[in-house]
Amino acid sequence: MATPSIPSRLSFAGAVRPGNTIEVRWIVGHPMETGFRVDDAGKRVTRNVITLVRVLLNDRLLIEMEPGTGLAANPYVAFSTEVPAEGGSVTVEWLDDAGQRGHVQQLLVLEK
Amino acid sequence: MNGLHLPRRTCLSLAAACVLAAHSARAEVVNVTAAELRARQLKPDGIRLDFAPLADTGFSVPLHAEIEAPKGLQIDTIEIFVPENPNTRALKMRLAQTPAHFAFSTRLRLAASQDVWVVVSLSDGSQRGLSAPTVITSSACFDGS
Repeated sequence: MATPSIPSRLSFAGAVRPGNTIEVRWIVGHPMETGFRVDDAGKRVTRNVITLVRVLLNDRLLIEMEPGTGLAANPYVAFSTEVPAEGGSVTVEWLDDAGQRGHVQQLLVLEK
Repeated sequence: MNGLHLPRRTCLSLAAACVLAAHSARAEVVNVTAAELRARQLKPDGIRLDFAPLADTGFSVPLHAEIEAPKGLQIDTIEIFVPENPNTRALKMRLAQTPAHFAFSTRLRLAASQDVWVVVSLSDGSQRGLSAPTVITSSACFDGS
């Protein structure tokens, strides 16, 4: 379950048919604080970026990402993948500098 | 018995701290300069970049890349470098199922106008790389750091 204050969304573009290549789109509402910014009082805002993202296809690791401060706030990553014959699900898990974690899952419902 | 007795919650917290510490050590900042990237003389074969040559602000600049590995090879990792940013590696992706073809899109935060690099490591250990320039009219850095 995602941390309630940080929404995350996972969706697919393209026909979800066995063997077809679809685009998996993931977006998360994370501020990605770089640690370089200062607030109105002149105090440095603590760095807090997502440091690890794991994408699982049917519980098998598909992609492991290590984002840095160069990824924009509210990170968006889309990538291509092949739909397995049996369908299944795609899961994205993430972890940030503050120790917050998130998790979002979407079923690959096969089209006829 | 005089052994050390820790509450279960403390043990779990220590275990979680160890896992996070291990991850933090792995996710250390990687900084590579533009000169170092150019010195690698990477071939751009099989990489196609779609990147805006001009962006109003550096807060969120879209990047799309398509990568085709040479015949018989697979894609292991993809790294995006933004050499003019304070931390130059924006993203590293390790592809566990090593496909021969891969496409991805993301959005970058840029401190200045610069060449953005996509560096691909292949299954034989070799690397390919391609850069694309962009001009930023307003930086994503407020305070000049």
